[in-house]
Amino acid sequence: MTAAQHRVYSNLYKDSVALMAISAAVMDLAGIDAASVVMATEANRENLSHAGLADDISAGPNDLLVAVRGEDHACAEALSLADQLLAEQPAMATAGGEQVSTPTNIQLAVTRDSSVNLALVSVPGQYAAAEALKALGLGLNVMIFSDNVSVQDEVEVKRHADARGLLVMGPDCGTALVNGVPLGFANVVRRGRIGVVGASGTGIQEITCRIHQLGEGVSQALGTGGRDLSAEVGGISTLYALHALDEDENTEVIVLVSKPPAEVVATAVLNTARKLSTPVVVIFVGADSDGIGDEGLHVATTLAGAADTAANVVTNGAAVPTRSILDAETQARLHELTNGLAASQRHVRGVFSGGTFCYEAQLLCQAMGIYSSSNTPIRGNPKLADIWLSQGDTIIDMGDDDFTRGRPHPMIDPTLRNERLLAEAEDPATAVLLFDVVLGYGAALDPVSDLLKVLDRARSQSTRGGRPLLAVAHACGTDEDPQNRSDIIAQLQDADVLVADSNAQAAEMAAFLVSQLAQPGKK
Amino acid sequence: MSVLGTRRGNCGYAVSMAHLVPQHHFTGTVHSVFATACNIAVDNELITVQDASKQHTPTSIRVAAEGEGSWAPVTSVGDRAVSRGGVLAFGDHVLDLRRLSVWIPGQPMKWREPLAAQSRMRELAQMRQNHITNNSSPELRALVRDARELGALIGAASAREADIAPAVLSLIGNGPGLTPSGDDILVGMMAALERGGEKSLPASVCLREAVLQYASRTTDISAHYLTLAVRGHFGEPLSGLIDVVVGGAAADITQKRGNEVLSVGASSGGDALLGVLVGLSAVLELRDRQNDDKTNTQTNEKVA
Repeated sequence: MTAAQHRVYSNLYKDSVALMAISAAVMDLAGIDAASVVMATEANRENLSHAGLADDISAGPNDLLVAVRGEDHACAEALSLADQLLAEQPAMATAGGEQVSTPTNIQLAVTRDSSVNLALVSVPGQYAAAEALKALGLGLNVMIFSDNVSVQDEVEVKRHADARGLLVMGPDCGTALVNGVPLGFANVVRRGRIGVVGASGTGIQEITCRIHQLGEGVSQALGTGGRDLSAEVGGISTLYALHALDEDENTEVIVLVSKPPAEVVATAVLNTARKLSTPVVVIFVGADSDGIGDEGLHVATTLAGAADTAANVVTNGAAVPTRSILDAETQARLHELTNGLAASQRHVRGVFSGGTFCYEAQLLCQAMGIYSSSNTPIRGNPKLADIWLSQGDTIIDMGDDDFTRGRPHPMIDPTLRNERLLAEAEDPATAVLLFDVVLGYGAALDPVSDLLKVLDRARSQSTRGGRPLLAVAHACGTDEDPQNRSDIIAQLQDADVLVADSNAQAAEMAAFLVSQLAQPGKK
Repeated sequence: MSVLGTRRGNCGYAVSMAHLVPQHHFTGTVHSVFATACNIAVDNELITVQDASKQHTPTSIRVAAEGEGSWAPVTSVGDRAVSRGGVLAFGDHVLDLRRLSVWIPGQPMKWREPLAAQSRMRELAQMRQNHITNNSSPELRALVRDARELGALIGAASAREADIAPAVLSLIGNGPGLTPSGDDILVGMMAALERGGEKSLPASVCLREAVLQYASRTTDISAHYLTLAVRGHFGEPLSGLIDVVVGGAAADITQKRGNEVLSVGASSGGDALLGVLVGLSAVLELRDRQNDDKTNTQTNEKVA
């Protein structure tokens, strides 16, 4: 006798391949006319009812439903088989039934997917060049995240790549955005018309984030490694990247960012940039910009200014002069804040996790007459005798090897940076704390909880000592970053931190605050 | 001592994650377990932890097995999942999510050559026909008909909510598979409209509103993908395919991306591809009409 039977399995999820296999197995049984193995959504229950497979089914969309029609004994057998198959552990197979494991070397990865065209090398420095050469041999561009690669190896790898028309980013390339994919320490920025070439990780981060905040986007951001513009390496990767972006139809403006290059390399790079059909904004942080700006080249003096200029060029076709960083209203507000400071409070103490931020802050402070000591001093600034002890105005890079040997970088683990901030706050000579908070992938997921506790403790101590503490900060990131820049800024502001729009503005705010104080002995 | 790698079994290691995987601390529950993937329910989202051979969904973590073979979850439905400081633990697995590469879909492409796109779409339709095995089933024919009717409504641009809602209702939760075929079609269609540049069209908005209204009529897992689609988030295969069609990529690249879509699930890929093709056809129809209107206006202006 023919009948319809069904069975409901509450809250049971099986993938579609398993459902199809069960359905096929049940259908194959002798005496079964029709069968269906579906999720019991309303639409499917109605379909089964119309097909005469099941009526009055009491089940919800997250229940699995097996319905069969056929001879009585066959229906019972079918439901029993379904029970058995549904109880089995899932088989170890992918959708296509093919066993697939993760490739364990570059060759295997390329064999698996011939569309791969970039390898990211992150191995101990002594092995990085060998891995990079293997990747280049397979026709891949390479990003070398590893540091501690010798300059000889760097030159060899880059020449090898250049001869094959391939790009090498790095060594020690910590930041890149390739086809919208953030690599290393990078931020979530929208894609757009501005390409960035940089020998500075945090420089690229500041510029790309600022571009995003201005409503524009980034086509590609290519890191070159901090030594690329040295005389030994000769800017091989920078020159390649400039040409590549010039040929990229999605790039309408290029920003080139670096600390001051070797003179001969700077000449070659600038000459190349001038010949490109794409306008180039140049920011050599701390270099004398006289004579650089001419047709086809726009010069910026700060990282934020470079982003502003690029956005102007891409929008208006020409650079529009950017307004001064500190307006009169801000200056008046800052001046008021200095009124309550104690007589001992005279100095700025900058504690940075981003190397280029530290560099830029020193430059802007120096421009306002503050020659700060540092573990990584710019030209004209004194080197700290003891990196663990600040003296006078001091601006340090806690991401430098001096502080990170055997420890995580402060962007990843800010503990040491927070301890240093507390130490600076305890010093009666400190008037202004200046620091950065770097967000994005790779950076600490919660960069401020401990920092806020430290600031609270520091303020309690300094207030007890009759010394109000001024803190100025800048958060490099976007609202789309995992940490959400707006949230971070709100938390800092709640803790009475003056939060600047950019690193340059933060540095100028700190320098202005200190300049308002009587500073006997200041150079 | 490191907390990582102290559990028994083949824990695997995370190799990448999608941009919508929460990076703050969270506690969730294992919702469903499959051969090479599992879902973790966190608030109203599902995080999919899956073998590294699969491409990303907007909320997935790709995990490689330690050694040969695919990664397989060793966990049970209802297990607690905890993420603290970038380390996710559930069942026998402890996955380090810090410093992983993150998949983020790029900005949608601009239309390059509509004629070339139409040619690619015809090739994709043929690939789909060759892929699906139950082409002749009345249920599938009904779904294809319903999908085309919905596409025609959207392409007409004059559709009202009253027309679109019933069309969505006929598809949602309808058909075989863990994510019923009708849902996969809707996801494909929304992806085509979003990445084809017509997400602001009134008909697109009506479509998304109707999907949201009826999402409770399908499975949790399917509702998760539908809700993501309403918010404009799609998996790596779908985004990649639409981008190459819109961007005017060569036939071989389109074919590769098409195969990636078709390899999703048993029938989901083919159903989603149907939705993509219907959606892109509607977009092209709208663009043609807009161009005609513009030409007519210019002609009239010249005549005047």
